[in-house]
Amino acid sequence: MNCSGSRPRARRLRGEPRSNGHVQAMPDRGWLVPLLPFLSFLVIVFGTYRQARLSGYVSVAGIALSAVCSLALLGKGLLGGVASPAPLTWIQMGGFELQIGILLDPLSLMMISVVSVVASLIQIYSLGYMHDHEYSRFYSYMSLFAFSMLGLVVSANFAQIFIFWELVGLCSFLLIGFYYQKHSAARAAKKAFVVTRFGDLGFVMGIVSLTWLGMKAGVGVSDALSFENLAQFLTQIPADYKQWIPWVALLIFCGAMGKSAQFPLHVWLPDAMEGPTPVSALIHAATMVAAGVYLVARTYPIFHFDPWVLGIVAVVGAITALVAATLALVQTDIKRILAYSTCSQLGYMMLSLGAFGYGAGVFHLMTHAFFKALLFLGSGSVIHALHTNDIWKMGGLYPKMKDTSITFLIGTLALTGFPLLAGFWSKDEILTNLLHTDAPNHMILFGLALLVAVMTSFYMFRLWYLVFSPVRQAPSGTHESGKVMTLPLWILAVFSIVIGFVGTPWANFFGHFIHYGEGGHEAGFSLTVGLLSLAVFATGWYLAKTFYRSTELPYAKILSIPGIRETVALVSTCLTDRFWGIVVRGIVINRIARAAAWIDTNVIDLAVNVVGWTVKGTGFVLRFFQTGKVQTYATYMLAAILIIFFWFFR
Amino acid sequence: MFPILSVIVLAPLAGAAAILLLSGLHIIGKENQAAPRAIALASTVISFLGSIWVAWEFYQYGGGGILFEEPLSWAGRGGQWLAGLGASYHLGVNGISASMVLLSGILGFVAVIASWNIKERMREYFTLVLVALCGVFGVFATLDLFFFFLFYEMASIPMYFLVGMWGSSRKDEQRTVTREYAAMKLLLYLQLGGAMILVGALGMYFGSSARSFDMTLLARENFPVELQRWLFPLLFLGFGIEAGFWPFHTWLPDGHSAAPTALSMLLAGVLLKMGGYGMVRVAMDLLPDGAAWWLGGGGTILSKVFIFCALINILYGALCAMHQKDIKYIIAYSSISHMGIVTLGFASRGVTGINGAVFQMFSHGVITALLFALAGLIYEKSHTRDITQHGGLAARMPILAVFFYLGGLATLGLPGMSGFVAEFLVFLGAFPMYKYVTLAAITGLVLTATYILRAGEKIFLGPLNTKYEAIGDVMGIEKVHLYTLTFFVILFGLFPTLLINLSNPAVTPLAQKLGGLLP
Repeated sequence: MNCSGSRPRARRLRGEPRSNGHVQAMPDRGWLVPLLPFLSFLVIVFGTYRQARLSGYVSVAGIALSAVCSLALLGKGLLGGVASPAPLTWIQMGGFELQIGILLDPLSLMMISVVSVVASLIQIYSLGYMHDHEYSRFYSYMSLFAFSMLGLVVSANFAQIFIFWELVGLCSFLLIGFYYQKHSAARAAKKAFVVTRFGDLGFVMGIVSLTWLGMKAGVGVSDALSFENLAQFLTQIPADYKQWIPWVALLIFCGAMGKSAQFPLHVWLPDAMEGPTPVSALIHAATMVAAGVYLVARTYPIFHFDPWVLGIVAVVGAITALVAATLALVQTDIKRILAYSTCSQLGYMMLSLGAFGYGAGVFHLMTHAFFKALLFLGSGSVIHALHTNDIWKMGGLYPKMKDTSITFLIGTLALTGFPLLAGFWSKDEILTNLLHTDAPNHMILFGLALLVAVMTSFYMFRLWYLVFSPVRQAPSGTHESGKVMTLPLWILAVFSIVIGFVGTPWANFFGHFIHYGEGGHEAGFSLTVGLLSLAVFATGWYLAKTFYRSTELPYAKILSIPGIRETVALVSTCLTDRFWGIVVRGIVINRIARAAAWIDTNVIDLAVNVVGWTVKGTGFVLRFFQTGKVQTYATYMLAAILIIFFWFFR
Repeated sequence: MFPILSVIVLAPLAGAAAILLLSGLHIIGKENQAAPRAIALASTVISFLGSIWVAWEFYQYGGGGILFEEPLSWAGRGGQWLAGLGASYHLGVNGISASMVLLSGILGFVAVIASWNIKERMREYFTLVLVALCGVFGVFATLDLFFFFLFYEMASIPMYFLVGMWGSSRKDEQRTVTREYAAMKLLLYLQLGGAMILVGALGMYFGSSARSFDMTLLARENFPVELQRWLFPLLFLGFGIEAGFWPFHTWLPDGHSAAPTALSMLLAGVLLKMGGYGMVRVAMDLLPDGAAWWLGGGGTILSKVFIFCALINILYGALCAMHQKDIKYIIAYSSISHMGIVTLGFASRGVTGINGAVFQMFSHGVITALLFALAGLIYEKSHTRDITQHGGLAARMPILAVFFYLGGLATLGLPGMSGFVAEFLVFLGAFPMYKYVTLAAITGLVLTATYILRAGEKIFLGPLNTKYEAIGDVMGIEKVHLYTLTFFVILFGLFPTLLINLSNPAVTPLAQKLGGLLP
């Protein structure tokens, strides 16, 4: 699916200035950003597949170059303006036109930079993490993913974003099922694909109904689906049809819910941890799962059109944040803790977007990408060293794995909102916005967000103390991972420390660069929120410390009182997996599909066979009358004549 | 002008004649495998190349008219062959036919490759396949209803022998189907459809002022609306039976699964398309008022029947596929589901929807042929079609697994493959006409994903089944048709305009006649 494919038709520059009124004479080469990884994908598949090492380098080179291009574009965008290249026509029939374009605006510039930088670091890390013989397959998938994700980010319209949306879903499927010989991995991959597809149904329906609204508004398909004209298009819709806009927004939100693992479609994300850890870091923490949040941000006008839709977005986000944080409290698998944490943070972003906190939500999306990738890579380093995912089998790793431990601590602090680290700024902005917004029920949402923050702080420090704190004894023979793995950790750690400074309440560069509408929505600094959030951080940390920072774990027993963990587990399965299990396996597959198959064989086909048997039976009976003997026929004739005779002359 | 269409249509027939003749002269012996294979390959390659040429010329022409027209004068009469009947050997293609000719060209070629390892009675086998192929090309290339019907029979009768003699039976707890039963069922259904088509064709013949079977003349004929309303459902349903229309679809899973691999590919790939093609090219094009009335425009419950059947096709086919164990049955039921999308596209009567439906016909033809080819290869190597008996084969046959996933993902409508474009266009086109039906049809996407991924998981993923330690991957000639089909799936997925530019000029005037939506 590449742009060079479509026939270049009248290349018209629809290049209105993207930001601050600067116009660039030359359109920028945004194509390069997604195409470079695609090129490395092709090179690996058709060229270097047999040379494992080389495949790895090709892939890393592709994404690194792409990162350079992205950063260059971002720099240009920050300085002045970046002009999007003219879109190409992909499908045309008469007045119907679907385009493929590259949309370079502040939001997508930020996002391509984050995606390509994080992806580069993770791919470098994977050179150490993956085994040599897995390289070619792994890196071909990773390159394809990078292409799809970057393509998704720069998509200029709904149809195009859906194309890449599905492609990242495919890559996610391939990479979750990377160890396909494990039953669990194969199943998790299928589950991820099918569950997100549930959401995608809504997405397709949303796109289809949007073109219908376009038809009613007398707007062509390409204009109705375009992101740039979205706000303007919505105003053109005739009044009679305006009532449908919120429903379209909800349908599109379904797609976002699937991809971003929002309750109740979040069930696939924990299972997705079956994939290799770098995959979890890249796809299921930093980038792909954020695509849903990105989609909402990208199509914000349609959500903003009617506040009740945003209200639903906020509520779904809040529920997700809360449920996932609860589940994270009791996990024993290091990756699952992080997975639920990701889920919960994505809920946070949705919550913020839903409560008019556009800038805050997107800001958190960016900071989260860095520190969550860091945490996952750290956990990967641990798993690489210990060959287990179970936190109870870990412990006391700090003296043995200093780099991993320190960077993991930085990630933890950034996530839990330790002052001045990345998560602190973005979380604070979300909370401040929640406090001051005029969204309905914002105080309840604010309270929930604080509660989630306490829980986040608790489960992250629980993890840190159980795994790294020197109080416990490290398994023997543990040693630090190689440089190729620790270097990306340190780089990400640096990002996790400093990236928040682009969006401080006093100098909010981020907010000035990326905002919805006229801007000025950014709530300034609020001392209340600052103190509250510090208190929240400290509470969670203190609780975790008292529970888990000792060898005996005196209070931890509370959680292992028979019943408590089981109750939580039961609630979680009932809420989630069990429910979908019943719906999908129990009802759809075992009842409806079986009934359909049964009807097909035993009703429709039976009817068909009955027709056949009737014909056969009739033939069987008639056969006795057709003997070929003249005497028999003469007898029939005589009988017939007699019958006729008597009938006429009776 | 070079009679390219005649060459395409008659090359397989010539091949069949050559095999028969050479066998009759004892030049090709019973044990000779190479010669019939070579003749079959040569004749299908000629048709294949010819069809590419036709499609390419059409792409460059890009108009709505008919190209490559061939009226053949017969025996110096200067008039038409069978002129007394009002019939003539009149060939020519419009955009829709051109894309179907291309599809048949591709599938004829790959079907021969897929038959490479047939062991028994090679000569008879290839003769029958080639005769059927001649019929298939003829259906798509002719402009005369009489010959349309003739070619239609030529395509369907050999299927009976091919399924009955080279097919396979099935006996397990889900179903017991002998190949003789399947062959008979297939033939009877095709003949039932054929009978309805014949009645429809005769109705048009006697209703026309010109007393002609010529489709170009009939298209200009303004049949009375009443007559159209009577004839349209006959024709539409007659063709529909051939396209797996619910509830007349049960021949399809049995027939497709009992057939030998190459024939499954042809049945699903082109025979179903003869039905779809007839729907649009004969029923809708010649009887536009009837079509408009029956496809949603009539305002009574009757005018909704076909649309509901299409929806049932989509969902019911997918649901049935979810519960099958036999890989060929899964693919066959998925065909039923996907042909429902074709009907839905036609029923939308708009430019987008009909183009999408034509695209879907092409795309489904290639994709299903790919899947059936893979099913055949899997069966050849593991000797069972039951998906639950496999497991972990990806470790032993990575190439086959890659192709299976490519085909499977194309089926479930992954962007970048042809299936996505087709389904997307159909949904876009159908939604303004039938909102709830379209929304319901879209849910089929998740059902498709479920059964395809289930099959893939059961066969290829998980720990390797110890039975298959020694199983081998595809190699040599087996790869040729996989590569060919996948090439077209991806080509038209990436560059859909290649195909849409063929069909669109023909579809636009049709949609105007039908009173459908123009974009």
